[in-house]
Amino acid sequence: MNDEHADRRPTRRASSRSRRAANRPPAVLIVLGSLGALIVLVPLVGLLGRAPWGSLLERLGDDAVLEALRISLITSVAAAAIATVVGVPLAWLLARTQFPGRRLLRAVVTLPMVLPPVVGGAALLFAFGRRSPVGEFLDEQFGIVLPFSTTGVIIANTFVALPFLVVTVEGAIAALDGRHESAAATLGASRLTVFRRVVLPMIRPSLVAGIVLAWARAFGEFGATITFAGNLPGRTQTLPLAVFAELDGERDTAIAISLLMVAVSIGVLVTLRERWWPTGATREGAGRTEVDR
Amino acid sequence: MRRVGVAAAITIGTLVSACGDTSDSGATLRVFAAASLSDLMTDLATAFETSDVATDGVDVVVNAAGSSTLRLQLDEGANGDVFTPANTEQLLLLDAGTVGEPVVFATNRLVSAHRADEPPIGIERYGDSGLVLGACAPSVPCGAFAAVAFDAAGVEPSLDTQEPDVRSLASKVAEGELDAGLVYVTDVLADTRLAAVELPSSVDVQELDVVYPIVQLADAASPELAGAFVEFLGTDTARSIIAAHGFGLP
Repeated sequence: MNDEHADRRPTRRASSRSRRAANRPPAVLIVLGSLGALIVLVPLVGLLGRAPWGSLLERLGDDAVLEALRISLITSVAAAAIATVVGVPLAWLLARTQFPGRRLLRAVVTLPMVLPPVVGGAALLFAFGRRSPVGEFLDEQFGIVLPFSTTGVIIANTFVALPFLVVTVEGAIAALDGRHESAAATLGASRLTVFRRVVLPMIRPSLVAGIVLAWARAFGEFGATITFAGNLPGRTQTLPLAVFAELDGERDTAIAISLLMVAVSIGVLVTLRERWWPTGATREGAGRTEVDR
Repeated sequence: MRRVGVAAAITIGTLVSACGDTSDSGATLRVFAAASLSDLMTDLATAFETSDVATDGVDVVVNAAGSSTLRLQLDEGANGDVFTPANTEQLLLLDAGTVGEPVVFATNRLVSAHRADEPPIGIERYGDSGLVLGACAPSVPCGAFAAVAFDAAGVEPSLDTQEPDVRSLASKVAEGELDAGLVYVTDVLADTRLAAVELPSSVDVQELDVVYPIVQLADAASPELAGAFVEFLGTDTARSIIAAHGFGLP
């Protein structure tokens, strides 16, 4: 009956069609979407299929793996900490102040997110390598050689991780209702106090998300690290570098480390899921109450 | 700076094979070559493409990476026609099938490279922790050779990095990031910024003979072409190119 009407009235027909379309997803989207899911799923299944399940713990307990894990944890946590200490103020400056070249600076700070890490590593080498003015100064004055050192790994990690923190936090600050800050200022709070007592508490969920993202990016970093800091077990060999090294040697160990990194990544995603899609308005509300107090 | 992850290398390997799959005429020859051979292979490929042996429109694609990475790619199903690792051990480890006997077409030797404008550093000084020193990772041939050399020289090396392939090691010495590194003499000849210190004769053990075998792969899409390329490497044209790059001739 609907169809009969629809035949006479093209507009009705169109609307009934779109209603049906809403009920049943178009085949082309299902096919393409499934392909998209497969691109991600198949490699993961491939990894799981090759996993040496029987000797997994034994391989992860290997001295070389534990050493790489130690280096990875030290460098990624240090990088996330540095990124937080300098990245939050940078995000605030980008979001809340006006100065010439602000947009350009924002674009440049974001660059490492899209830049191939190996290019970042090369850039770091030219900036802080032994032949660079900075590197020469550090070498002559303090005997510090950044490439091939654990500090070098931290620098490479910070370089790639910082934008993730800045982008996340800047977005949160820009989205803040400026009236809270104005009110605090009216009551006599300095801008620094407003930043500490009003802005920081209000953006806490995003700040945590930014820190976790930055840490995760640093934890998985490979290209900039191997280019700038080289590969030496116990000093600069992180877990991803160990995967690369063991893939040529003990392949099962490489797969075991890869599984560990997959597990960590899943953990990060689960953590962030709660931050990004808070259940209902509770979290938002909680944030507000805290500020009001 | 030619650092790529194994994943990327495998992708490249797959892409290289994908290129081959599209041309059923067998006009594409895929050479999986050790990193230290990359410049030489590119020149040999050009010479082969223009030689009478090759029919019109033959395209030689060189996939260069660390020998063990190449072996991994081939074992994981990447399609190659010929494989030229930097030692025979990689051939023994190769699971992918081969055709005929491997032929040694070039030789090389390990040296200690340093920047030409800096004082030379021989292998006997690799225990000095005050120097910034490098070698290849033990999993690639130049790293395995380095381990043998340190052993023979009685040196407990104090290394600052173990690079995943010899080209990245050579470039880090050339950039001045490393004071010295154990690379092949051909890597030094390929870069004017580098100079070499030969290993002392006491270190001249037989395990340090660096030979490059070439072998035809069983999966070769164009076996005739692969066979022709292997034969081509023995011709005078090819031998003069090999010698011009500083490699020894068998």
